[in-house]
Amino acid sequence: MRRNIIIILTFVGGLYYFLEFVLPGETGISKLIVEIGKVTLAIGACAFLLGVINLLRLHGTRVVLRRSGWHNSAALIVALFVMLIVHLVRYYSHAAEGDTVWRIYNLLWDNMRVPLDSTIFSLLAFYIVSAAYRSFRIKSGEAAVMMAAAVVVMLGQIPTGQEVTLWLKGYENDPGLWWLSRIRVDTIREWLMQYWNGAAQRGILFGAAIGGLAMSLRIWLSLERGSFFDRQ
Amino acid sequence: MHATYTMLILTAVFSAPIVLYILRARAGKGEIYIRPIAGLSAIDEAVGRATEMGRPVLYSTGLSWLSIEGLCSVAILSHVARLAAKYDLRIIVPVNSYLLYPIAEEAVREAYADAGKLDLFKAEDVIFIPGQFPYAAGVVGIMHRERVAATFFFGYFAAESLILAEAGSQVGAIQVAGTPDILQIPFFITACDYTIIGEEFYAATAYLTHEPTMIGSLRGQDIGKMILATLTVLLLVFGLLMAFAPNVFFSNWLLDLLLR
Repeated sequence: MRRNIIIILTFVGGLYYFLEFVLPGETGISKLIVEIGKVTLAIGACAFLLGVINLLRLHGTRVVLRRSGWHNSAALIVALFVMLIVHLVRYYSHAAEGDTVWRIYNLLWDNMRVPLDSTIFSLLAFYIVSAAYRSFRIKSGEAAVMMAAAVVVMLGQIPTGQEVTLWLKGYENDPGLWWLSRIRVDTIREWLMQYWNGAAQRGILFGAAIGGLAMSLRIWLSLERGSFFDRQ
Repeated sequence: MHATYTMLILTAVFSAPIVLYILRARAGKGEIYIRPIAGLSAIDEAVGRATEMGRPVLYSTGLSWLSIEGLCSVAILSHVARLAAKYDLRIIVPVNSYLLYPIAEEAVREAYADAGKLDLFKAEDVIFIPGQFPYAAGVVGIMHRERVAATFFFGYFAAESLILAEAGSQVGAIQVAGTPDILQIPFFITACDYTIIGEEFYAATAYLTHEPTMIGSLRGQDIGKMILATLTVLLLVFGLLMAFAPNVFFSNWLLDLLLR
């Protein structure tokens, strides 16, 4: 019974969005899309509450049982409630920008949360170096080609690299040597990225698009078998 | 936004072989061979290694939300969780989306319940971590604290992909990743032991379950790709015609038709 209800609801929901997309112009069903979106939002709000409950259960248990790292969990719970309260007060008090509640909010968000985000993001620079070191070791013919292409692309990406062959641009209008202006680092970079890399990316995208379509159809028509959705 | 007639026709053209081959496979018509994909075969190996080491595995759904990538990731999670339950292994699942979180929790719970080991399931091991970089920081922390033996990254990833994969590499975990996102594929290829790319990600459940319905769907996808390749060649010829003979009568007519 439960399975049949889910199959019917999934099909009707999918059919609505499919028809809304394929029927031309503003049809009657298009007008309902905002209202139906609100239902999705309401379901999302319930799911969000589950997420918050999970966080409180996980970290609350750690604090209560004084497990290792419990102080981090306590900091998370305090931060969660402080941010929630400050945001609610700011929203419902209709405080003007510059008021105390706004300043506290800015302190917590712009001066704490945003720099913390940037800190984690900045780690990427170091990880890219170590990942690049591993990938660009020339262990085979293919690795050598990739290394050469990577050097050209990196040089072509930065102004200093572009400067190396910029003088070749002077031959652009020379009837005999015009081709020299085409073998600049930046033009080779563009050629590699736009044609070789672009073609490969599109190939992957084509396959992924059809794969996504197949997966959508299987879920919409409840044809998924042998996985989690088969049993729902 | 609404579909153009061309989009509508193309959707029907690509959907028809998928549905047709699913129905054929369900009726038991024809044997279909699937070439092995190293990355998917490695899932068993990674779980086995974690079992030998007695350390947990980590499954990340990335920034996936309630989308096709997210649902596909949950389907793969279900398979990994089943393997983990079979070998009495702990699986940690950090989820970024509040919409995907209850589904992921249910998938893991069901995997342990089906194996008759519900007592081994810990709801706290399916963790909700909102925000892109808080998620990255949280997952990296879990990897180091729990010293995970294997990591699985399946779903939609953005800038955090390399942070996660490098952290997994640092703890010496065997890593399997899969994403349809072309920008993150190079990062995973660099830092992970096995990477599943593009359509292989969507085909993963078919490879893992070997269910006739799913294999039929794969055959339909292949037919779709052949149609797409044929269309690409035809449109290439059309493009050349447009470039070299722009006044040929049918080229403008065809362009108009395609854009309608």
